[in-house]
Amino acid sequence: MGLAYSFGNARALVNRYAAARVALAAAQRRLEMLAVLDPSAPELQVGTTHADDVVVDGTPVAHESWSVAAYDDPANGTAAGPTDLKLVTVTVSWGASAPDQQVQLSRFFPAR
Amino acid sequence: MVLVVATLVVGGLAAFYLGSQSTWLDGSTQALTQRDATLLVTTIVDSVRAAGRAVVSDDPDPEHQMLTLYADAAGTTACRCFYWHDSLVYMGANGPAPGDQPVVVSKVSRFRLATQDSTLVRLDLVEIPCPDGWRLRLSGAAALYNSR
Repeated sequence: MGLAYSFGNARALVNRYAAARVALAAAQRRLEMLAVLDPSAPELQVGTTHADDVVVDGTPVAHESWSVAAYDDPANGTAAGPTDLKLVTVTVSWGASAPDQQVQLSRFFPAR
Repeated sequence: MVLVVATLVVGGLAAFYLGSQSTWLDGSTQALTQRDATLLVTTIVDSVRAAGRAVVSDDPDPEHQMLTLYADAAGTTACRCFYWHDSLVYMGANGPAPGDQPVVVSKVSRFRLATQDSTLVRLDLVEIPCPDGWRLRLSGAAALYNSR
């Protein structure tokens, strides 16, 4: 019984990793798509949060959201204003969106 | 009576062994497939990021395409290409050639790409089937950081 239980758990982990890989690829995809936008694009406005479905082959497989926050580089203090960079955080969740069903990536973007 | 019970026990053990082996093999195959899919997407993304121009063409149909990369935006000589042939995705230098090797050994049933605004390559669909019928579908994107 113990062996069967461990096999079942291992199989569930493999399935979870499949979903996590798809989510990680989706998060990286979103960051790359944002990277080619102009810094003044609506998707990159500081203080905003955006949401969308992750669609693969015409089927929604997960949900993604990204938020844009101002980031003050401590190296120059507040000399150039409080927004030296933008910190974009992309979160992709699947299933019941439990903490172990989410992937989160962050990247700095130029402020202007 | 003892023989019947012994037969039942042995039969149960054999069925459990075969079932667990099947689960083990399916799980291992899926795990390997997932790693191959990630490796394929990562390899393409890394190449795209270093390129300046990308061209996507049907090879031979819209479900199996070829990505040709150029070193800079004005480049006319391809520096790398990825193409689907005989259920595998190959990586070549400046076009398909006999000595090209597949990026991963897993078979790819669909390989769909697109370019966007000359600055982005979208991997709309990388589909890798498993022997048990399960299919891993992955998408991605990469910016052409040398296009400007």
